Amino acid sequence: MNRFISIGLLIFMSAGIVRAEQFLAYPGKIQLDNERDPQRIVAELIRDDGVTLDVTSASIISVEPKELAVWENGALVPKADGEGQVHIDHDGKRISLPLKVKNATVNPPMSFRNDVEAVIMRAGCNTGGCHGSAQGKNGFMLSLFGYDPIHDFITLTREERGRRLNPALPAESLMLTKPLGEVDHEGGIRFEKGGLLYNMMHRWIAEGANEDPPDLAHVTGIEILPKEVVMEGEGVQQQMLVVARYSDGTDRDVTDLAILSSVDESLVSIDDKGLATAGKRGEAYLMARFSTYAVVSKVITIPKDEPVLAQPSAPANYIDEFIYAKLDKLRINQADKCDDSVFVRRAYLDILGVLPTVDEARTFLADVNENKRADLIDVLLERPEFSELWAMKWADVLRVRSSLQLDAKGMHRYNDWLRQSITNNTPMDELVRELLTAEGGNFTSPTSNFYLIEREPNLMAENVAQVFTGVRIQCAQCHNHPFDRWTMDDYYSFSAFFSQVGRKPASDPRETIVFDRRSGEVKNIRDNQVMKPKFLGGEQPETKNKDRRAVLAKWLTSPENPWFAKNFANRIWAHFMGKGIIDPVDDVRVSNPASNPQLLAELGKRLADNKYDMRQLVREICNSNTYQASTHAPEKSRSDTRNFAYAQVRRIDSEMLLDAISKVTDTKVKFASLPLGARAVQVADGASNNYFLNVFGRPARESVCTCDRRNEPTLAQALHLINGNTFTQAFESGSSRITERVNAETSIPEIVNELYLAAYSRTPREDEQARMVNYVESSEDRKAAIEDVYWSVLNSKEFVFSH
Amino acid sequence: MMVKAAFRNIGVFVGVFVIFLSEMASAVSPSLNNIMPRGGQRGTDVQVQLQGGNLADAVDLMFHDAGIELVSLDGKEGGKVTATLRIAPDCQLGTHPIRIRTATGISNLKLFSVGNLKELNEKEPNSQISETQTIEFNSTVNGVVKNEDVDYFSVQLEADQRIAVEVEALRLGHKLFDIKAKLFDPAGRQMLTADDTAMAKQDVAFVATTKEAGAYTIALSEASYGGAGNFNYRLHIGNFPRPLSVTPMGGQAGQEVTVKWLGDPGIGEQKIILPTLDTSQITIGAQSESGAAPTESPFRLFEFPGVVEAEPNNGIKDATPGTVPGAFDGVIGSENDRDRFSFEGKKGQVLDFRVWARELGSPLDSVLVVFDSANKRIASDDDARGMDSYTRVTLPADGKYSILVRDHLGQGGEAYAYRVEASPVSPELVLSIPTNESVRIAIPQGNKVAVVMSVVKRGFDTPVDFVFDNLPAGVTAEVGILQPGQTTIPILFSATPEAPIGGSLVGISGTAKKGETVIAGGFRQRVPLVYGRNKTVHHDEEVRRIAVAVVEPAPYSLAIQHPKAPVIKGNRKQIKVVAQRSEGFTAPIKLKFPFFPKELGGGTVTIAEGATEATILVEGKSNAAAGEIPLSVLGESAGYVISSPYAPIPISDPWITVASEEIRLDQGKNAEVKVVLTHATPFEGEYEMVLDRLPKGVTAPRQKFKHGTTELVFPLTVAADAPDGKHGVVAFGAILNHEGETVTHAWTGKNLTIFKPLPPQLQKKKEPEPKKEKAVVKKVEKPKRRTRFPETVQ
Repeated sequence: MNRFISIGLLIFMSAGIVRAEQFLAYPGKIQLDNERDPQRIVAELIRDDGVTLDVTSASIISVEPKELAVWENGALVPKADGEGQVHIDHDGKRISLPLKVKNATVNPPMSFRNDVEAVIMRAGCNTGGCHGSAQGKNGFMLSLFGYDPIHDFITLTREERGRRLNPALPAESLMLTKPLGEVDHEGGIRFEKGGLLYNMMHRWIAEGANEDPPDLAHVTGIEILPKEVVMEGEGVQQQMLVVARYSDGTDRDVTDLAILSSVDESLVSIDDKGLATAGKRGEAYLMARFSTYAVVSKVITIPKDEPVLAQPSAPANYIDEFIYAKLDKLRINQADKCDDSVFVRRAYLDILGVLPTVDEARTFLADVNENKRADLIDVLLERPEFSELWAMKWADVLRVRSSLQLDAKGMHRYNDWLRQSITNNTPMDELVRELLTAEGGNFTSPTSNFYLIEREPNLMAENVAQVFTGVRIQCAQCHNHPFDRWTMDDYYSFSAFFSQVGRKPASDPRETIVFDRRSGEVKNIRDNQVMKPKFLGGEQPETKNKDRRAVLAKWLTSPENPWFAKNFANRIWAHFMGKGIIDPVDDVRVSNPASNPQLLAELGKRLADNKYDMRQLVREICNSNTYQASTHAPEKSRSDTRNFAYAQVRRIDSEMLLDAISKVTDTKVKFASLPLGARAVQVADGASNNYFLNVFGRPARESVCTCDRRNEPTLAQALHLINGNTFTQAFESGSSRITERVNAETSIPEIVNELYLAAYSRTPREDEQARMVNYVESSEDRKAAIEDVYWSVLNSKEFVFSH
Repeated sequence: MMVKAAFRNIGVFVGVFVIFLSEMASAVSPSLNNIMPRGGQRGTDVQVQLQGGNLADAVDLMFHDAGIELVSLDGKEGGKVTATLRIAPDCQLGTHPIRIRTATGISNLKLFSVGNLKELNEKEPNSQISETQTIEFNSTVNGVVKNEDVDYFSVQLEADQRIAVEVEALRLGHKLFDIKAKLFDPAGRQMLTADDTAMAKQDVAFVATTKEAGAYTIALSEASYGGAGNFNYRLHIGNFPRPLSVTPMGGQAGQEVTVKWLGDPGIGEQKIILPTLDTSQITIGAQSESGAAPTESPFRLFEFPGVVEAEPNNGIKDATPGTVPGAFDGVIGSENDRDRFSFEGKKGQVLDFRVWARELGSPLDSVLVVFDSANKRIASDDDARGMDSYTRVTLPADGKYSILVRDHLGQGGEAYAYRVEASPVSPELVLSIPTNESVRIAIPQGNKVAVVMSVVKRGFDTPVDFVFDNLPAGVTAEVGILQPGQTTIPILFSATPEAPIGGSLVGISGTAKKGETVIAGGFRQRVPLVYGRNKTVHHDEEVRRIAVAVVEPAPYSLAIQHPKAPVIKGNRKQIKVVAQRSEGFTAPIKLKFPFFPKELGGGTVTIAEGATEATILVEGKSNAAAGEIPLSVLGESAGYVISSPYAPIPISDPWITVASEEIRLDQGKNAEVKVVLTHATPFEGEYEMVLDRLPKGVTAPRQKFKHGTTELVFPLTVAADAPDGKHGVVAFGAILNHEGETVTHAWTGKNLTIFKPLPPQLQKKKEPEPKKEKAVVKKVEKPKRRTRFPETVQ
């Protein structure tokens, strides 16, 4: 096992901690398993300000005893069997890594799975655009990214025999002449004659293109090292290493064979030898893919000699500590705290989904208590609107909607259950266990609706993975996930947890009973093998005579599950911050890493430790400086979009926006199955129709994806706000605030003042006040003028956005 | 033209066996949509308004159950009638089916509920908890839940007082009204929510006990926040007994049984003397010092004795012993409870094990397992009868067997009662009328009405004799002979012209013999009352009698004219139907056959306005036996539905048959089609034969032939633009004028294909081939060429 050894601490907890300079070397231990198993070594110096320096070439590397291996071209090459040490000396510091050499003179034959498939993948032959496409290319079809090595082996060795591979004259094989460009190849030149890829393929063909022995070791994981790099100054370079681990305990330096890429070439680039070069300031990821695995290393690039900036205030809680640590690394600082009027509006909108009333806003603004923000958060968390808002958010991803399959009654029971669970502060893990193990009629056991909205085991598995872990496994239904670890076996063995869900009619024809059938299996479509239930990325549990769903629910909500708590924490975080630490929140994958994994881990841990008390986590988030930061970013922080240096400006969600308009204009809206004047957030049925809500991007709840909720502006939205019936009805309705004010002969400054408090939670500035008052007073039609004032405020960005 | 039409599509004609129902839309027939109020207190006279259509000539009400009688009918209008009902003090509690009879028809069936408590009406506004309506304890409130409405009622109660609530909504049989109730204590805290209850379907029933004294509030709403102006309910609130189930759930006919009421701690056991066995199910009502349950509970009557479980009986060792045939009663009293019963069985004994639980209002979702003497499972079932279980077992050997009952999801509770009836397999006869409406037959004086009855014969297939009980005066019923394998049979009701206007509920029973065993069965009909999505039935009512009435004369009658020429098997024939119209009655009359015997099929037709006859198509099935089959036609006009008397329809084997070849034609080239005739029955006169289903552009004149003709040739004219390609099979039809009627035969011919001439280029290339053919004609020239060869050689 290769793990890096660190001297000192790698994780920097906060900006305030004094850090010592550290000297590290990768991989942590060196294991050379045969003649063709050289190993690169990277030596790294972490300065006390967190900047990492690649000091490999400035270090002296020596082996003890000397005869075991030699340091050649940046790699350690085996010479004789035995055990010893590798010393890395730099500037008076030394790290010694244990060394083990085996089979130093044995050069094993090429293997199809471990060598040839790696060559094919590295050369790009099996990508979706080339021979990996569903139809192949030019009569040659490989499995996408090598998900089906048996198929690939047959394709290479059995089809067009003598042309693709020619063991008699290996160099004449199409598998060599095509990628060399010696024969026309639409895909261009993929191999260099005499290069590593060419040599490996050539040797395998020359050895007879043999099938792998059945007991061949397989890759069990890969690692890219160093895992986190802070590069200072454009053009600075850092050697990266990729190490693959195998099931027989061996390892291999696959830096040459892995596919290396950067998510943002302008920040950091990487060449095919693993040498990374820094670009402009920012944060990026380097990804390595090998076999079915993908891993990333985080890279922060900062300009040369830029000092750590002081944060505007001391951390309010642990959240700020993690955020500041990250901002310090990026050499940027957080925005100042927002003012009270911004805070009160933001807190009401985020915690309750409603605007503060004029009185609520006034009271808060007038409050001189230092702790008034924390107090307000506490008060808001106990209000019923909190439960309604979160019931709506969960109803979105649980797809609560009536349909031909789901009677309105079942839908209402489901929604009532959600709301009641949140009102009761039912721990999230308990709630999920209740859902997953649902049993009984969907009218009497509302959780059974979970198994009626989706009935197909594969889709159930996809939904459960996406909603409760944030992981999308959809790709793996047809091929191994290209940018994540999921294989088809993972997919179907996860789906097997849902293969025994039974459904039968109840005595009420509208009702369906869900039960555990204790029979029914799922097969992998690739080879028709029955798949035993297996946790995603986990073990294969014993499910005999058990409800498979209960086994899954227990694992899913257990501390062993790496995603559950973090996923919940991240969803809550994203609601308040406008962006997830992993974003989108339901697209957790290796190639979409968390912007602040330490913070995410801590949020998840605290959520779990607090028995999934959602309100407590919300309290912690809302009390942080990070949540209370202004939307006005300091200049250097403006380019940052991932590290919460400033608050996001967000279009208010459709339901809350409609409720806000109703509240400001004092209009009552009629929704189906709700009394007049109910709030849009309370609408239970995703299938219900409301023009405003539809136009402003309310999800139809047809998929579990959070992406179904749209917040982008559209022309229809703008036109509707300008002259749609939402406002015309509000203006015409006799009971609305506007009509009342017009009739009551309230003074114009008072009307404007009240409108600003209702819509923006602030009093108007003098110039605003003057302009509005002037406009109304100079108009002949007082009513029309007041309506215009309302119209202009409600059409303003400040109203439509949360900021 | 008629002939041409008759032969069209004959080659692909498939007879359709359809049963037309007697329930035709009727302008005369009255309808009953609403009874307001929906119920009344027993022992009182109640004035109700009956709303519907065509009610102006209302004569009487028809009550399917005893206990309610009509005192008077007033204020008759087309859309409503006011009736005063006298409800007997001992009238059975719960719903009673009622119809309205007019001088011209009988209405559909609606339910009227009889209660035991003082009746009140809901008073709006009571839609907010702040404006709750105070009501008396021990009363019945008639209310309505409008769209998204909530009705609040409060009652003043003492501390530790028992409060029983039952609401009838869906069970009133009007709307898919799923009611939900919430109970609040005097402090406004929600004590409980009640939605569906197994004993009350989607209605509400519960019993609670108060803690403190004060005003308790009950809120009623539709479960999905729906509702409408006709979503009426009856809320019973008081200290009456409201058990949720009973055990045992049945008893031996004619015996006394002690039942234990379950789910209501306020009542205990009750002794009941059961009637003798003329039905398998009755209802029993819970009684206690505090009153009577607002609705009764279904209860099984069984021929054989039963046993009640003795807990513990979860395992084979402590199974409660019983006998078969016999019944086993018990309660799945707690979660994961399972009940075992044992019995001695004989080898080859065949038993039907039927669990009665959910169907009788128990919350249990039963699973039944039958074990042999080695405790090996030999049969099991979950939901073969709705949510109840059923299995038929043939016992493999003599020995001690056992059965196990459990809940499918391992649930249990004090009301989870069940009854397993193990009965010997014996033949069974069930009569019903296959309609999704309530059966009502209105026979105009001097006229007839046919209706089709379904006869289910289980375990036998011998003829059945039918007996009609309580027919109205002047009405007779005529039933055809039920042939083996047949499951439906028409009944033709006739009223004499002198039959008085009147009506009655008629019982129909049948008897059959299988060897020495006499099999008797009666009429049963589940009348659907409340439909949900896709016409699923949410509530129905079983009736055991059909409503028959003699009504005012219809303005027309019908008769089928006896055909002189037969219907040829596998062929169609037009038969004449004659209508006798009253003076001035000219409305068109739609005709159809309510029932086809297996030998015949046919179509529909309308006697045109003012006309007195029409011909209707009858088809002889190709597998029919030759002979005469009685047939009656049903007419509908101006709301009057009547039938003709039976007329015998002669069916004959084909008189002639034809054989022909495949037809291959070239565009623009005329051709001939030869037909070979075989004669089976001699005939007089001349047949006219037509070659039909010819493609566009191809014509053939009709050909005539006499008895003895063996070959006919149709000359075909093929247009140059006749579409080329395969045109499918042609058809031959022959028609003979026989005693003023036609005897028609039709046969399917062979495929017809039209070829296109080859394109010019191809024709040139292939010239040598045609030349060869032409060579036969131009043989004269060829020798010339041949002779030239020797010349050149020379």
